[in-house]
Amino acid sequence: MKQAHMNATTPLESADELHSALWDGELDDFEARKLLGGMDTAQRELWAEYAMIGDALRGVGTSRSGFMQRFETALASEPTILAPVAARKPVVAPYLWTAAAAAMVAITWTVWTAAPTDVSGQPQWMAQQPATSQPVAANEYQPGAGDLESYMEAHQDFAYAVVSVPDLTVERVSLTEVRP
Amino acid sequence: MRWGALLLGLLSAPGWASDPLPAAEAAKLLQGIADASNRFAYEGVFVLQHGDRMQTLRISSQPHPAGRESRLVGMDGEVREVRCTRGESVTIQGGDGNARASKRVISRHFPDLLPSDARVLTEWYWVRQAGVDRVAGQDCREIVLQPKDEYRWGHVLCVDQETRLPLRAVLVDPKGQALMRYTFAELDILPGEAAKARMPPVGKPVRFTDAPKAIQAGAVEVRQLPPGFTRVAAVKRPLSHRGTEVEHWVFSDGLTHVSMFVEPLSRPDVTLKGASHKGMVNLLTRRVGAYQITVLGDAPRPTVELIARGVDLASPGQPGRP
Repeated sequence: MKQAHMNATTPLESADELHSALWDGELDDFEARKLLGGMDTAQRELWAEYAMIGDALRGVGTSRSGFMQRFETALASEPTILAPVAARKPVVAPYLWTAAAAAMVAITWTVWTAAPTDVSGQPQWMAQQPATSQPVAANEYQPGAGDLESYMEAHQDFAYAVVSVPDLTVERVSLTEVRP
Repeated sequence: MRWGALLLGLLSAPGWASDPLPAAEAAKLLQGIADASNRFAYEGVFVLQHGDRMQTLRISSQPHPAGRESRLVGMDGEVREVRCTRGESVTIQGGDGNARASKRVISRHFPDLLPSDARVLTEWYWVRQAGVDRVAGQDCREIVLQPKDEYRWGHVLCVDQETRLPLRAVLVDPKGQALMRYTFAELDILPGEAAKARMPPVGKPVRFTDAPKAIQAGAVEVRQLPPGFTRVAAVKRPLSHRGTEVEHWVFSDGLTHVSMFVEPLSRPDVTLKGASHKGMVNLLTRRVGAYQITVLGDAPRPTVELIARGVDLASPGQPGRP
């Protein structure tokens, strides 16, 4: 019955392929809505299985905190990369990419840059001043995944969503510091 | 990629290009949508898509004189549930024997996205009617809220023709790209009693984390906000991964929410900024006096920057002033 229903939707693909495509975000809106709206109990169970597998691969759920701890450790051990602030092209240690790929983590590293504070207390990037690369102290503060997670978790109250913490993870491209 | 094509098609629809509704008509339309979420009892399943992630949630909701009562249950991933009753909201995480509950600061969630007084939104958004679509087996009319400035994202709602309940809500950037999307997969409008019967009472959680405590004034003050934004909450709350409580302020124009966290500076003086994958969430940290300020929200970068720039130590006599 399930197969017949799915075949009626798209003759060339099986139900499993359609679910997989939906999970991967490969279906367009019309197809996705049609598929979701037509799910019977068995198909919902299949969908739940996909979700469980996905969560396990991403390291969320019961084992999530372990992953985040490893992530924090990896991030903390990353050497500081000195580069101009304007250089936004992601530069990520290969082993992190490998780890991410291996875990199929839907984590996109985004840019963290330092916008130094001048004597007036105004962040300097707002004044469009060129940043100057300076050596960064070894004990310089770098945001850990736990920090981001706790902020995002608290903000969830206002994000209208009941999702687990969004994938706000970072790519540290440059870290500059200017002292008066 | 197809999502982008979809939005491109959506935004190129005649409705997007149509003239904005007159303010009075737009206000009436938005208020009808805002009221619908609290007027009907319903249950259904909706899908939330954010970036590469997707989550399915089951929802039951019914109106109540003291505030809507609703229950949201995540159908995948970690056991997670949100209960809203009489203006209070609790998140319950974990299964039997290991459940922990934490009080939420607000009790709104999809499809109740618009503020109770939705008319004010017409000051900050152009409102347009677009085409008719079909979501969860029901016809719906697309309503586009296009921001008038750079301080908020756009919203494309598909509103049930009969009940005016949003069946789909898409958060879009200025290019029309989808940042986040809620879509009902199924929805049943129910008689009130039927909805009540299907919503069992909240069980006692094993562990209840500290509830946020409202504060009137804090260590800092914000002297500048984007147009239309006001402070909608200020609490002191514990954060996970932290041993101490932090101040949590929230600013909103009714649709966009930005959080600001204030905590004693415990690290070297560095100002950082960051963004999520598609830029939906922006974050900025900076030092103000002896405090670290972290501003983040589902808002464009200028919004976060403007708020962060407006933070200063509280006036003399207030906490946090040396």
